[in-house]
Amino acid sequence: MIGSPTDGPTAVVYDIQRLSLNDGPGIRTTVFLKGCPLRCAWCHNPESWERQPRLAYNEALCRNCGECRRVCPNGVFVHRIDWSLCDACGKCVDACPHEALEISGRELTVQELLSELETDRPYYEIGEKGGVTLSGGEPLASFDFVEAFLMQKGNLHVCLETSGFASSEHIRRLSPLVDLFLFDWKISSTAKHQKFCGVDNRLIMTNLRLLCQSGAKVLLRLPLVPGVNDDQEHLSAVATLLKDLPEIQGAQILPYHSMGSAKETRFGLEGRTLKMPDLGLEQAATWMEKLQGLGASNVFF
Amino acid sequence: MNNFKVKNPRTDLSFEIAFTKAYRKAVDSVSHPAKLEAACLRAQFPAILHPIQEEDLIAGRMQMGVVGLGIQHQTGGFGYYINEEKVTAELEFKAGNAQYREDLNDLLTYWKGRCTNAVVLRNRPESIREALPNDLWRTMPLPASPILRMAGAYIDFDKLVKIGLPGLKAEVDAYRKKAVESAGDVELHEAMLDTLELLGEVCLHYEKQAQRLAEETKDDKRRVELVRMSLSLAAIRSAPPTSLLQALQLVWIYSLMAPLIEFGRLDVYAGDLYAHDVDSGIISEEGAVQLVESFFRLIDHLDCETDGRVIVGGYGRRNPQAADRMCLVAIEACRRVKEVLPQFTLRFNKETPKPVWDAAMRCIEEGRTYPLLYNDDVLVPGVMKAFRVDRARAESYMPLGCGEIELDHYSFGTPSGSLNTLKILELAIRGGYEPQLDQQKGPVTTPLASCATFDEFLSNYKKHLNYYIEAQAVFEKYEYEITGRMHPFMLVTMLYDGCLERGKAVFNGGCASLGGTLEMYGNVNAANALSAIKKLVFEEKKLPAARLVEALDRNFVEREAELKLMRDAPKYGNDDDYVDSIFVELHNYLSAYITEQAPKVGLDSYLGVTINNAQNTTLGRWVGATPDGRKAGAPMANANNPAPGTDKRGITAMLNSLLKPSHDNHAGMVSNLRFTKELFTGSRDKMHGLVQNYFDRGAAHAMITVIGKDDLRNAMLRPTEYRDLIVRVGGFSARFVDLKKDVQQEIYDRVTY
Repeated sequence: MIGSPTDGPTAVVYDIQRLSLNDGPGIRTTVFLKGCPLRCAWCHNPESWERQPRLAYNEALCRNCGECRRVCPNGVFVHRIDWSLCDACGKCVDACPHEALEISGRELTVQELLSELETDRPYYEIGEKGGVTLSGGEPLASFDFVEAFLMQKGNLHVCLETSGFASSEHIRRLSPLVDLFLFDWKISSTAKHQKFCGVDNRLIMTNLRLLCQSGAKVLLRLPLVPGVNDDQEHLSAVATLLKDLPEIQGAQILPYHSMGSAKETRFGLEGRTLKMPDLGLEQAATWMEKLQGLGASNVFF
Repeated sequence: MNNFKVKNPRTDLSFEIAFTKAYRKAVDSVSHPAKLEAACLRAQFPAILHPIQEEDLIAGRMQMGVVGLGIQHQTGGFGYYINEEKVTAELEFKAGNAQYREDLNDLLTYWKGRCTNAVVLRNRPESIREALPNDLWRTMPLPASPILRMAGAYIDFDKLVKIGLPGLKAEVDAYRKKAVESAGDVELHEAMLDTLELLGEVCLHYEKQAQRLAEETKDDKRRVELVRMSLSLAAIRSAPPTSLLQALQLVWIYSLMAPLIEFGRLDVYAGDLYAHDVDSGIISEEGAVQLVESFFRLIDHLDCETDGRVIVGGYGRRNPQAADRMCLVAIEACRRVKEVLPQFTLRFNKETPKPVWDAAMRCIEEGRTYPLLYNDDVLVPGVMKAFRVDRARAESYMPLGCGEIELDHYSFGTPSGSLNTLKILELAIRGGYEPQLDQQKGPVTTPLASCATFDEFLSNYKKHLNYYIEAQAVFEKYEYEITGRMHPFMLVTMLYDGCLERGKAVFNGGCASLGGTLEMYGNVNAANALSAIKKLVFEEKKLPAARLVEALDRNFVEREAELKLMRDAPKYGNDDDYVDSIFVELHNYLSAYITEQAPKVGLDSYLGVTINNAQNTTLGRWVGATPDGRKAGAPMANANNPAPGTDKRGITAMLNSLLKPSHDNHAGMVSNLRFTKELFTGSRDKMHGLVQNYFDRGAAHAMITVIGKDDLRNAMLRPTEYRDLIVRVGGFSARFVDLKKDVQQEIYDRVTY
C-alpha cells in the first residue's frame, strides 16, 4: 500500500496500537511513525529510528523451510539473517508460510491512515473523549504528513507525542492544529542530553517555550531511567520548569521498562540500547513524591 | 461425565445393582411410565443421597449412579441410563464376589438395548439414518450428530416457593380428581402425588440427620446452623417456605430429585423472603450471603461441566425492588465461591441499578469469569422475533447450558443435535465425498474444482447444510415424541406451564411450547474458508480450485505457497467487511433455514445456537485441512469469536466484527473476551466504558475472563489455548501469545495479586 506522489505526503507507519490507554485522554489509537533524530539510550522502540521499513524475524515461528532464502534477491538469508544486506523488499515475507517474517513499517498516505482509524472511532466516545495519538520515532520527522493529517482529520481529537526536537517553524505551524502535545522532557542537563540522546536539548527547550506561549495544550512526559536522569539535578530542574511554564497542564512520569530489549533481536538491532531491569510503579510513586516535594503540582504516572 | 463432589463416594456398584433389580421388578408390575418412574425415584432416593457436610447450611448432596434415572448426561445420563465404560472398568479392574460380578454382567447386558439412549437411537426414523448414523461425535468424523438428552428444564421455582409442597400436592390432587371424572390419566396423577410424597420423605431423611448432627456437635455455632436446617426441613414438609433458608432448601431438594441442573431466577423466587428476613431482623445481610454461598457450593458439587445456571436481573421480574436487593447478595456470594459452578448469569438492561452493575464488574475483575452478561435490550426484542412471542413472554428468556435460550417454565428447547458446518464444507468441496471414511455422504453435488462460479459452489454448500439441518429437525421432533412416551419426568411436569391443566406429562402433550435448538460449530472457520475460496479461486484466480483441494488433501505438506495464500485471505475478526459479510450471510442463512424447519416437523420453534464449550476442539479434530489455512484436526473457532490467531488488527477491530451478526434469528450466540487483570483494573473506568460501549452498540452477550498469574503461566506453556488473551504492554494492549517469550515473562513477573 504505497501512495503515489499525487496522493500527498506519506509517512512510514510501523505500528498502530488500538485500545491505547496511556497516551492521552480516553481510549485512543496510537500511530507510530518511523524516523527519529534522537538516539535515546533507553529507547524501547529502536526499530523506529530509521524512516525506512525494516525486516523483522520471529525465531519462534520459523521452521527453517528455506522459502525466504529461495526468493531473496540479496542473499540476506545465509545461515542467519544479514540485515545489512536487506532492503526490506518483502519478497521473503510473501514467501514465508509460517508468519515468521514481517516488514515493520508501511508507507501510508493521510487518507489511508484515516481509513485505518475508522475501526476505532466508536471507542473514542467512551468516557473522557479519546482519539488518536501520533507517536514515533519522532512524528515531526514526518512533518509534511503530520501537518496534512491534522488538516484533514476533521473532529478527531489528536495528541502529538514528540521529543520536541524539530524545526521551530514546524512547531509553530502545528500548534493550533494539535489538541494536546505530549511533550517529552528527557534530561535537563544539556551535556547529558547530548550524551544519552545524541542531540542537545536547547532546541527542545525553545520549542517547549514556544508552544506554551502560543496557547497550545501541553502535557509534559518524563521518561525516568535510573542512573541516567533520576538525579536531584534533573528533578529540581523539572520542578522549576513546571513553575516557570504554568501553561503546562501537568507532568506524567514514564518509568523505564525493558520491552525494547526484547525487540532488538527481532529486528537485528542487538546492542542498540541500554539494558537494565524493569521498574515498577512503586519507583514511579517515589519519583512523584520527590517532585511534589520540590513544589511541582499535578504530577502523575 | 461428572464426579459428584461428596466426601465419601460410593466404592462399589451395589446401588446400581439394586436399582436395576428395582426397575425390573417395577416393569413386571406396572405398565404406566409414570408409575415406573415413581418406582425408580424411590429406588434412587435416598440411596444416592450423601450426608450433610460440615460446611453445608442447606441439606442435600448426592452422587448419581453409574446406572439410574436422569434427564441429560450431566445428571448421570438421559432417562434410564447406564455408563457402560464405568461398569466395564469395575469388572475389569475391581474385585467383588461371584454374585456381585454376575449381577454386573447381568445389568450390562440388561441395559444395553433398554437404556433410553439405545431405544431413542434404535427407533429413529428411517429417513434420517444416513444423515445421522450415530451419536459418536467425539470419535467419528460426523457432519451432524444427535445429542441424546432433554437438556435445560427451567421449572417454575417461583410457584414452588409460593405454594410449597402442600400447595403443589393439593393442586395435583385436584387435577387427579378431575382426571378421575373425565377419564383422564389418573395413573400419572397418582404417580405425581407419590413422587411428592417421596420428596417429603427425603426432607424428613435430612431433617433427622440434621437433628442427629446437631445433638452430636460440640460446636455451638454449628449446632445452631443444624437446628435451623432441621427446623426448616420440617417446615417445608407441611407449609410453603416462610424464610430464605426454607425457600433455598425446598428448591434444592426438589432440584436434586428431578434431577435439575438449571436453578432459575434466584432473585425473583428468593427476593421477597430475603427482603422479609433482613427487614424483620431474622437474618443479617452477611447471614444471607453465607446461605446463598452454601446454595452455590451445593450447585458446584454436582460438577456438571456445563449448565448449573443461576439467573439474576433483567426485565420481567414481578418484584424488581426485592429482586435487585437479592441480586447484590447473589453477586457477593458468587464472588466468594471461587468454583466453576454455578454459571452465574446477570441479565441486565438500561434500568439495571448502578450498584448491581458495579458489583458485577467487581466480580469479573477478580477473575471469576462470572457473571456471564446478557443484554436484555438486545435480547428481548431478538427473542420476540426469533420465538415469535410477545414482549412479556420474551422478557422471561433464560439462557441454559452453554448459552441456548428458552422461555422460563414455558418452552423447552433442548439442544439435541450438533451441526459441524466446517465439516460439511469439507464434504461440499468434494461434492459430498468424505475423505476420512472414504465414502459418499448426503447430496451428490458438483465438486468445487468443477464449479464455474462462487455462487454455484455456495449453492451446493447450502444443499449439504440443508440435508443435515432437515435431518436434525426431524430427529428433534422424534426425540420429544419417543421421550414423551417413555418419560413423564414428573417433577418437571408439575412445574412446567400448562402440563397440569392439560393433565399430560411435559413431553407428552403437556408443555405449551416444544421447541428445539441446533448447536452450530465451525461457522467462523467456514466463513473464512468461503472467503478464501471466493477471493483466491474465483475473483483473483490466484489459486485454481484443483490446486487448493490438492493442498488440503496433503494437509499442506510441501504446499507452503498455497497455505500462505489461504492464511493471508481475509479472516473474520478484523473488521473486514469482505469476510465479515460472508460470516453474517452464512449465519443468517443457517438461522433462517433452521427456523423454517419448525412448522415442517411440528415443533413450536427450532432455532440455531452458536455457543461456547469444548466441541469446537472435539469436532475440529475430525475435520481435515480447510481453505481458511487451518490444518487437519486443529480446533475450530469458539462460539462467535475469531478463529485462533486470525484476529490481527487488535481488540477494537475484533469487537467490531463480533457486533455484526444480528440477534433476532437464533436462540443464542455467545462471545468470549479475555483481558489481563492489570489491563482491566489498571484503567477501570476506561475498561468498564469499553464493556458498556460494546453492549450499547448491540452486543447480546459477553463472557469476560480477567486472567491472573496462573493463567499467564499456562498461556506461556500452551499458547494455542490462549490465542485470544489480550494483555497490557506498557500503555497499549497486545495479544499475549504473540509477544516474545521474554516479554511474556516480563508481563508474568509484573502481574501481582
